[in-house]
Amino acid sequence: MKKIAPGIALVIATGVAVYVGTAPIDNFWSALFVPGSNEILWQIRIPRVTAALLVGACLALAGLMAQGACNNALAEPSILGTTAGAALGTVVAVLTGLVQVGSVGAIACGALGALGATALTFKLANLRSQLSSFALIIVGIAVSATLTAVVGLLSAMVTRADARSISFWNFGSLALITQENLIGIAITAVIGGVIAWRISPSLDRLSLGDATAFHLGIDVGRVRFIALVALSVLAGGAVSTVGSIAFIGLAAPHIARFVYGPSHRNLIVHTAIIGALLVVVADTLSRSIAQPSELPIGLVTSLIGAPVLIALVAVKNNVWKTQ
Amino acid sequence: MNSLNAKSIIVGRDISSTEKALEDVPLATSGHQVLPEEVIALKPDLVIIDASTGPKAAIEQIKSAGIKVVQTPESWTLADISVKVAAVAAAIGAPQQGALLNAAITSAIQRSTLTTKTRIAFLYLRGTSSIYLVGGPGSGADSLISAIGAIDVGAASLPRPFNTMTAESLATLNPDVILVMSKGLESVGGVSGLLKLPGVAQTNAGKNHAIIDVDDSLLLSFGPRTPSLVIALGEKVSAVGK
Repeated sequence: MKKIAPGIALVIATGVAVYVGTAPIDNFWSALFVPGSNEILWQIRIPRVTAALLVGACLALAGLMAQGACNNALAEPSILGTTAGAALGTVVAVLTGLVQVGSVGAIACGALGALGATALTFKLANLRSQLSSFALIIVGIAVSATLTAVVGLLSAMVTRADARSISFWNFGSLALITQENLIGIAITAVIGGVIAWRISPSLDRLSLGDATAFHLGIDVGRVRFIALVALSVLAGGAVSTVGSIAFIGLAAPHIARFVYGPSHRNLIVHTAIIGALLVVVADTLSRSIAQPSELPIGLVTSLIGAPVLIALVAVKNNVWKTQ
Repeated sequence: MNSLNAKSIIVGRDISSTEKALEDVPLATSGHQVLPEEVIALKPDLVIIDASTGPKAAIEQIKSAGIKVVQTPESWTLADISVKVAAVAAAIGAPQQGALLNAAITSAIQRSTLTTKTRIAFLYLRGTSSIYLVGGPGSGADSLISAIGAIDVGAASLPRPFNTMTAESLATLNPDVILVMSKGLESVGGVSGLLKLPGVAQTNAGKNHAIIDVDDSLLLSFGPRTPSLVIALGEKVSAVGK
């Protein structure tokens, strides 16, 4: 039951998300099984719920890759500067007229920005050739703050609608999702998911420490680089399309690790399901609580994710090591 | 003032007085903020403000320089125009011109009623800040829309003067025509950009590209320029509805 509980919860949450909305859907059940029969259901609500599922899975897997690559429980895309880098890469590409937000090109630029920012964090944290967890987190926070400020400056200086607002990049929003955007996020989720799946056995060995992993025949630098590429692709795809949604990358892998243990191959599926579940629930709440208005989804994910994480730590305060 | 044939006595204006006839009149505001030094340097005998004019300290400085300041009522609906026109006319000592102007305004508004009940939604857009709002009861646009005999679908069903525009709420309102401010439309990338916003393409207005934009400084100004706006709006709605 423990194994399938998140999957069942996800199916129920997705059903509720498709059913609940500002607009009443006439003959909901018949409309649901005839694609295209109801414009609001098929052109607005289902694409949005699908985007929530994909984005949640991407952000959660990005968090898992960050934690696995750094062998650090606190590593998370927003802490490593990855999400801020993805936002900056996308904003710069949009402002230079190369791409539009939500396009495959924007995702590629977001992924490049994410990879550049993450690499910068690692480079700066390793200046004295002593890559400690403490240095990584502190430098990551600094890089993230700097890049977020640059995104804010660009948004303020160049007032263009297609570059979105600073609140979009900081808090995220699924409100502007269209059917066309789903292709890019789906490609991202598949590429990132396949890479993550393939390197997951190596990440298991990396969790024993760099020296042990090396003696077990793992090319530590190569595995870490591939994991960071997966992290950048996943975070780049999600952030460049819907902005930064807080806590998913941190909370989902921890919850999965707590319930299912440390095996990365096992964690990949469950982390993706839990991430998708968190974002779908948060998005449903964000568009239901204050109808007809919407709350920023980043606020809702923080309100859900933080207590769940605290509860887990309260129950078992060494989630990372005990499994 | 200009409509009261009193242009010759105007020595300064605020940024929202954008009529062509006033182009040569010096500005005495920075954005919407009154600059007391500029106002005092113009040596006016009278400064006309309303409750939204500020900052308050600037108004106090103007008063302390010995300049007479008259506050007229604010104008947010068509019904408020005559009160404001009368107050401005009284302030400059021209009550008869005020009465004549009010009569002309009333007559112009009465001529502009549509024959069909077109359903219109007023959208307040600032794409650069990701602000997308739908006008509801008391937005100001509702009184213009009802003056031309159309239905403001936002005012009929939404709770507040301005409400967050979500894809589903707009698709449910399903207006035949979307009314926006010109700079607001520009800020979302024009008509093509507006049609890409989720929910717009699912409305009758989106499907028929029935988008009407009006100068930002004119749409909700509710002054003597409003009657000509009402007439033009009625004609535009009739044209896009065909």
